Amino acid sequence: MPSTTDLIISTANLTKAYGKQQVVSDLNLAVPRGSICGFLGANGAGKSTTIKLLLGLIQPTSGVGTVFGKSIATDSVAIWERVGFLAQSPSFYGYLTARETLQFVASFFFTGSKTAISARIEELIELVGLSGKADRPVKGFSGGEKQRLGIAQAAINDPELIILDEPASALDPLGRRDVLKILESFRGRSTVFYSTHILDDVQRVSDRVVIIDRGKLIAQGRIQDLLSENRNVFNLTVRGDGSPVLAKLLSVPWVKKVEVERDIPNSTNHRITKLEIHVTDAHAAETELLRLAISDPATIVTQFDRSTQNLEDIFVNLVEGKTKNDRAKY
Amino acid sequence: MIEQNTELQRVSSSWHRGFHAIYHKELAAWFGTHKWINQVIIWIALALVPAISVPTIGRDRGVAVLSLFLWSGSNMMSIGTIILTQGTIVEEKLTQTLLWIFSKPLSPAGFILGKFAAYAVLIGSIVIGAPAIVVYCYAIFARLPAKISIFNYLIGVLMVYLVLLFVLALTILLGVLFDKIAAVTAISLAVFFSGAGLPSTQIRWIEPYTVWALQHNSYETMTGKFPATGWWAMGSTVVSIIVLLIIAIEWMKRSEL
Repeated sequence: MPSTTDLIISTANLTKAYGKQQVVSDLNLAVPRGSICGFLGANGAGKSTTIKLLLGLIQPTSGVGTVFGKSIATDSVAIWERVGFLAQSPSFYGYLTARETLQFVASFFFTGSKTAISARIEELIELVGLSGKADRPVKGFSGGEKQRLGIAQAAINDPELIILDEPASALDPLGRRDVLKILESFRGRSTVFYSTHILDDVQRVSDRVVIIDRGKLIAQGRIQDLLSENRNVFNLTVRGDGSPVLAKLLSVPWVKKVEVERDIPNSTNHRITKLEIHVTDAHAAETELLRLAISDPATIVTQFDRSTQNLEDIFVNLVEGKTKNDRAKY
Repeated sequence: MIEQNTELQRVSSSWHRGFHAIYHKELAAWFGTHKWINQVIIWIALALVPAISVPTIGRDRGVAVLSLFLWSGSNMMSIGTIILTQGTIVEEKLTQTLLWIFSKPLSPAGFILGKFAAYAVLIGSIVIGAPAIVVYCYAIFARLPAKISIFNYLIGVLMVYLVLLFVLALTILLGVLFDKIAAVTAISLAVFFSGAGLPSTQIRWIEPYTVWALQHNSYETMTGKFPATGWWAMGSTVVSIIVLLIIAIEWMKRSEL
């Protein structure tokens, strides 16, 4: 767990309610400096509201939050100074060109040499790949081009923290790939906190993840840690119907359950059986399971591995698990 | 990295931070495109057509032309100001542009005053400035008596300009308060016309000291009869504009985007 001083975003019981409806509820975020953090949640989970709270664009109903150690409720201008933000559906001024849009945004931050400001703008136009289109009015831009411009304007002040609300959700696969590449290019220079509901994107570029559901935090941490948790599932493939090994497995105390898929033809036209073994003691399973299976001379093991979960599995498990728990309370 | 670029200087924090950015952006919306040419043509036409149609009977046709411009024209210009500015804040709310620009170091005062200043320039140059010059030239052509000084005419035009600035400040305030353009337009028009009806009410004594007196004051000033309450009306209008803008700024500070 990173220390409080390493945290660029930190909240404690942050809550936002509109009337009786709590959109964000007791949120405790801890985003370390230097990370690329995916902020995951289904549509309507409260991601955009959380982002608005972090930027001080709306006031919390209760709880506290800091960005760079500054209060999100009272120090918003100081926060805006060091943050770059891209809204979910950015609406720029259509009559301005991309270059003029960046000049407009730059004028909130910089004064002095026009040459230096132009150089900074040129650098960003290059970074987001809008070189050939910089002098065209934004109203003619495609969704992907607007998003790239959005990232460029968010980075104009060389921010310590870039907050992006669904930067790639509305884009086609190529547009998404380009945006993710740009996001990755900020690694080592800025902390990136971006919301999305596309799990594949998070797994591709992020090193941390925060998952919320219906305004409540359900998980946060390093993606690697999350992926390595809950790996208590092992796969065993045997030739034949697998009955002897199944009987043996079900007698082991740390085997919780076994899901069986029988009569699958393999490439050599043999019938095979796949067993998905859920265990309570992963260490014991790792050392004992295979030995147990091959101890029966009639059993031919053709494959044995430990199940790997992707972020989608984890997200689904966490959200569904929480939903079941919530239902159980009523 | 920017910190290594010594030529880039950070804008210092101030209560009106972002004023220049908003001001220049708003001006670019009009003067950076061809929109201003259309507006100039429209406003000159709207001022000139009634002037041309003033009957040629009588020796003071030029005075009639200027009176018509200052008196009736000010109603038209006020309505035009409401139409031109009704969406300046509401549209940005609806398109979420406000969310974007308020994530930059922009103070509510910088935002409101930047908008006000840019529209004041637009209205001053296009809605009233250009037509005032053209109508004056036409009045000379239509015979203007020597007793009508250009200075008095300019004071009259300034009075109408103050009316338009009041309408502008009111529209900006309503844009901050409401999320619907229809509400902004309807309330602005209602306030403007209900004020014009003051002379027929119980509190008619207050009218000479208000913005609504400036319409007839402008005509009287142009003819050389500066009313005794003229300075009061101008002063109270300036104060009203300042109050409206302060309320808009304070409301903006408390608004959630």
